Amino acid sequence: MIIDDILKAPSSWLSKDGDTGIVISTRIRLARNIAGHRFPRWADEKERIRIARDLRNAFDKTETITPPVFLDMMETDIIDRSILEERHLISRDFAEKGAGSVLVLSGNESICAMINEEDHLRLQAIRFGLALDTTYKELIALDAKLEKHVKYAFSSELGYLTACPSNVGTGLRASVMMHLSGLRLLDEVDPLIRGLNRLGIAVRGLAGEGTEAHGNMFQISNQGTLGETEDEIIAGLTDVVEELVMHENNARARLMQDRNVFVLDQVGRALGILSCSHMLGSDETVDLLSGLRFGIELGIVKDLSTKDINELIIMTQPGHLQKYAGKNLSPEKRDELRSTIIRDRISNVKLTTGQRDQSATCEGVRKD
Amino acid sequence: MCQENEATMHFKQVSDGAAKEIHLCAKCALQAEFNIEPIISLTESLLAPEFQTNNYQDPEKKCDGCGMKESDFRRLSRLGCPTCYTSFAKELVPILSAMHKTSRHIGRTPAVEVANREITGLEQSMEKAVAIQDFEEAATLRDKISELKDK
Repeated sequence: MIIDDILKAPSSWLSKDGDTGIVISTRIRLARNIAGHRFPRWADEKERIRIARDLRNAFDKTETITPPVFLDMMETDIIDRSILEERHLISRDFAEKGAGSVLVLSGNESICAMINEEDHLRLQAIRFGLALDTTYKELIALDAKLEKHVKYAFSSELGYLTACPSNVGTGLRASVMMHLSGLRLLDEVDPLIRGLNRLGIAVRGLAGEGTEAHGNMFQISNQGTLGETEDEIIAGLTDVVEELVMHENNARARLMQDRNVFVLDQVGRALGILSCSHMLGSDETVDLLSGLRFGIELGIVKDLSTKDINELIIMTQPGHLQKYAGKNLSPEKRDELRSTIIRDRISNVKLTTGQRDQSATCEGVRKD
Repeated sequence: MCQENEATMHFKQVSDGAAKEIHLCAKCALQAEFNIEPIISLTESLLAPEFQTNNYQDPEKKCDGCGMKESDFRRLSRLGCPTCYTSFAKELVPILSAMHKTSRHIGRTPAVEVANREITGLEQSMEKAVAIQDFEEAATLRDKISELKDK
């Protein structure tokens, strides 16, 4: 089973050490369609299956280091699909799109493609940290190979033609996931978001469009896709992200200097709840793990890395929990297992104030 | 809402530019699950029938390529096929200009399109060469064209 192999290898974009903390990951997506065919939503089943076949052939003919793996969503069970979604490899409703929905994985999740999502082809790559330029180049190299075997829908005036007019042109959506706890604690995120929106930069929550920013994690991405070159989009977003990193570092420095106790309290509460509770909801967990992550980034939390946090966030999602348990779990049982996994992982974590170490686990309360 | 249990689910709904927060306990959320309206994206609001412009005149107008009607396009917020961009060119003008910097693509072009453009250019030069009876030049251009076409 392919999903089991995917599970064994942690997502490459979250398993690197030496994280600076603010930029979590980079994601680039290219939208492409085949000329002369209706877009997936408007096409019938026969046409979608044909498109899937043509695109699979194109991938097969393309030389890559490892041969591509194809996962037909119709043959993938619901827990495995939620695992793919939790790893950001497929979109929330990709699995429900019906016949012809195929996920293509090339290498260790390094590039993946959805066939018959909103567009015939959505190529995407996720990388650790800030890597817009290199990730784009990797993706476009694969795109250039694919275009030898399929004819893309393209107009010299409007560029790559897509099902939604918001993606037409380059079909490029570049986004960066950022952890902006400092700015959030100082209530400075909202004005920044409004400013960015005016610059044509979209800011979304962790899970994409229309979602709340759980865990103070924000997705920063380009809004427009037409009238700018790919390089301009990438360079523009890189500038914005670097500026946000500067603001966030600045906010953290101010917080540590002026409101040290407030920060210690935030981090301590996160650790306290995570290490003493026995049931944790998924959104609450993301928020609390973010608090702990903030503590790690500021050097307050010892014996835990941001890599651990990234892994815990993924591992404690409903699909991953149920895969781990090997069975379907009720929401209540999931909250229990989530809490157990986290308590186990953070049992040795210590807090430091900079002057003296203090243990923040509540051994006296715990009976297990 | 029951006003009894503690709210554990929080939603933010944006309508007419104003954000409204909804707090529900797990029980009420379960009951209301199918009534909660999804957050409307910029795209959907731009494509909605309410976003009427002078160009939106004929909801029955059809795309020659796929048969999608303008009303379908407004309802689904998605186009039917690549040809829709030509069929609904007029209707798309205000939408594209609201979404993007300009309405002209200046980014990457697939290699095959680049070659086609080059061929068209060479063909025009060849016709000009023939017109002025520069057959030597015309022959060179013809060879170049066939070389490009073979690729």
